[in-house]
Amino acid sequence: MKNISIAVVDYDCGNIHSATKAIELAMIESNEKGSVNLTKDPEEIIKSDKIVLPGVGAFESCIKKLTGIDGLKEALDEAVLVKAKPILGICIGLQLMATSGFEGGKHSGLNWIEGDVIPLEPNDKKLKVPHMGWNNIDAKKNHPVFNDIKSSDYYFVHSYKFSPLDKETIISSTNYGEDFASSLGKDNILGTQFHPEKSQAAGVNLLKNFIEWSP
Amino acid sequence: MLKTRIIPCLDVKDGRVVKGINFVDLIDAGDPIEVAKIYDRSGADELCFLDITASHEKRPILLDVVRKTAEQCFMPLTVGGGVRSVSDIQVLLSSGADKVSINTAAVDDPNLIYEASSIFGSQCIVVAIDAKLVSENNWEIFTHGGRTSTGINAVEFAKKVTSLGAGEILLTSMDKDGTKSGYDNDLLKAVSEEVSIPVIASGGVGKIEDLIDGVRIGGASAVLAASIFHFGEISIQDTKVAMSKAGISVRL
Repeated sequence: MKNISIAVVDYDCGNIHSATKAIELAMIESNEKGSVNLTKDPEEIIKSDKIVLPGVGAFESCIKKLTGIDGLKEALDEAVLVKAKPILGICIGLQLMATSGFEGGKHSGLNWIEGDVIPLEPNDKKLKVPHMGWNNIDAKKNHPVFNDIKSSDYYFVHSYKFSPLDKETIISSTNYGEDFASSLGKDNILGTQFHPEKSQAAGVNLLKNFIEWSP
Repeated sequence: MLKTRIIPCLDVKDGRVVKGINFVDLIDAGDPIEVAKIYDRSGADELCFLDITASHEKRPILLDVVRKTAEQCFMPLTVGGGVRSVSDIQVLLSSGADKVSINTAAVDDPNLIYEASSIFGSQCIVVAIDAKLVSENNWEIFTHGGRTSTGINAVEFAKKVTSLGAGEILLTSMDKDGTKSGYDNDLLKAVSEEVSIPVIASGGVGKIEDLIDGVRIGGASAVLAASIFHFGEISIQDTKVAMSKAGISVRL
């Protein structure tokens, strides 16, 4: 069996070490063998088999940091759009895949999944924003990365949501005074609004499925 | 549906857990990493580390603890104690903290909240408020571990830090802390009704019903407790079952 390599994109946006550690644990629990590398090197990212784009933070500062690393955006576009490598975006990593983000003014995203990142606006004023804590997801379609996970509760912390142009890209939704997309994907691209790396067994299980996923 | 969070809180001094921890299967009760692992397995929804020594000289020990805990615990970790600047926050976050709790510095310089939330995002900026009842329905903030009175009204301050970009408020009643007689639900209610961000109840828990009251009466989004969990008096799971029976949505 071939060793797979997973690149965790290191672009200085939040707690990337947690993501790396959770993926390492998931790798041990999976049927695959391989390495998990925290990297910002465009060449290493293009050469890897799978990519994880983690992150915590505001859209504006994160997209600026990502595009500020020489060659990184080009490498990601090449790996994801041309070479069709499986990618998992987490939280802001998912949001950056949108066409535009509206946190701190309008900013262009990677435009891998058409749509906008807009404020959460729960219609019950008693609901607090950020949406912070454990909430359940409702599957909108079957996706191999969500197979055989016992709990449907995951850890969320966000004030913005991904509103896709094509609703078919919604894999799961979550209710918080409104239904919003809690995971989205198309083809080799997948993103979760929640944090699998902070979601104990369910999250590690999801990451294991991602490692084993061949779209 | 969003679940109410149960958050055990560890007081850490010189890299060791203080206040007794009494788990049956715990090899080293003073090792915060061991304690964190047990809480991770027992279904705690988050974990909070409070560095009670909180000085810059001792910070490296805490950073090491945070790093090792984050490596082994797959749940959110809030770290607080002596956080005074954007660079303090940066260092804690890059060591593996998911959120940083700011107490005295938020009172001394509220602009730090604005600055920090602009840089790191509101989601990781927790403002810790320690309040004491000084007259009817008037709670005043105390800083420096409760030693310094500020003359600042807790509810007004909570509103102010919310508008500055705080993502969460950790609200401790100094009247109730350590009494095991329940949260100050009047204080909790006064703050949670006035701010749009989550409020974590803290200070005074002695039994499961206190946690339930903090949510039902106080309107807390999350409940924090230390000694009742540490001494093994009440397990996280028993707490969740009881809360669920009381009609509160929890992650079982």
